[in-house]
Amino acid sequence: MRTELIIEILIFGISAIFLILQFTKRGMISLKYAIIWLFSLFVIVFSVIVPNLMQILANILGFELLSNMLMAMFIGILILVSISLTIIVSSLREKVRMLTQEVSLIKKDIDL
Amino acid sequence: MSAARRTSDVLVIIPAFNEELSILNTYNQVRDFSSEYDIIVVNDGSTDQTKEVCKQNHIPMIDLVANLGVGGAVQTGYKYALYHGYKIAIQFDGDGQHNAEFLPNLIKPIQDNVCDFTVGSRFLEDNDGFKSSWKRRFGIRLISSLLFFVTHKKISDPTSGFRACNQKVMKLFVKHYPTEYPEPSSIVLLHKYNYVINEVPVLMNVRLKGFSTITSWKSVYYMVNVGLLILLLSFTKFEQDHE
Repeated sequence: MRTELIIEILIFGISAIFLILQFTKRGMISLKYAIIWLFSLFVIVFSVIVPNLMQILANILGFELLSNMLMAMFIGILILVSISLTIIVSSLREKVRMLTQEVSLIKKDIDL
Repeated sequence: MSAARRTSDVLVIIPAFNEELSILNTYNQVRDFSSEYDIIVVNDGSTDQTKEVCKQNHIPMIDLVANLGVGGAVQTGYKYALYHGYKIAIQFDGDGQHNAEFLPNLIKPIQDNVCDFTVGSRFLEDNDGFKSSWKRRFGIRLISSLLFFVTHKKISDPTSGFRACNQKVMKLFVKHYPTEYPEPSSIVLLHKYNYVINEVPVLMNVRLKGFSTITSWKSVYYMVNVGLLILLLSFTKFEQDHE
């Protein structure tokens, strides 16, 4: 893998990690959900730091171009993150439904 | 919670979303038919005057603080029924499609302990009642066949929202009501818990005012969703003890 590419990915990965940490610090992202992103970004950074790891992987997995594998890897990570977000939204939806029902029932009982 | 306002063992739950034109008629229809039942309207965050109409006419109403969809609204009704100690809860549409005359027919098998759940069906008897368009009927047939495949039970009108249940089923619904496409999927759920479902022939009216929540262009989407949901539910394992 060319050094320029490694540096670019490192800059991107590390600034993204920094950004997520900042958001978490300010309370804009809860730690619970920041972990998904930090873990994914860490995987990206780690994979380019280890020399030749990506090239070897690309050869084993049958990617003709290293960049194709990187793309595939990023897309894979994004899909996983999206799925976890869907799970989170669905569970929140359940909680909101439950709360809406209980609040409305209580409002009814105290004649608000 | 207190059971102060309960004057009957039977509660009629009327879910209402934007039913300002028909909610009063629906309420009066049930009220005039019999004063033996308690009635509760669940206003599902309507954006029209449904809430005001209920208030002006002193119709007992739970006013959902946010729109939940018909499943969430009906489940709220079941929660209310259970918390207040009702023995039987009936779901009755707010749009005037259902006929209060058939309420006793739905209640009787449950009172007699013949079954836990009754569904009012348009298709059990040959009559002149409203049977919906052929497209809708075809869809209902498909769902019915799928349900038969999954539960080995013949339910001729699985999308009917005219249904009654006992306290055991209420407890289940409070915990596990399938809030998405609740009518067909609750049948699978009840089957999973070995509850006995009976169909009761009813006549339905042409929707007086307002529109069905299922519009034609959405029907394919609806069918795919319902089909998938029924299949998924049939493969889901539920803990048997929900009480």
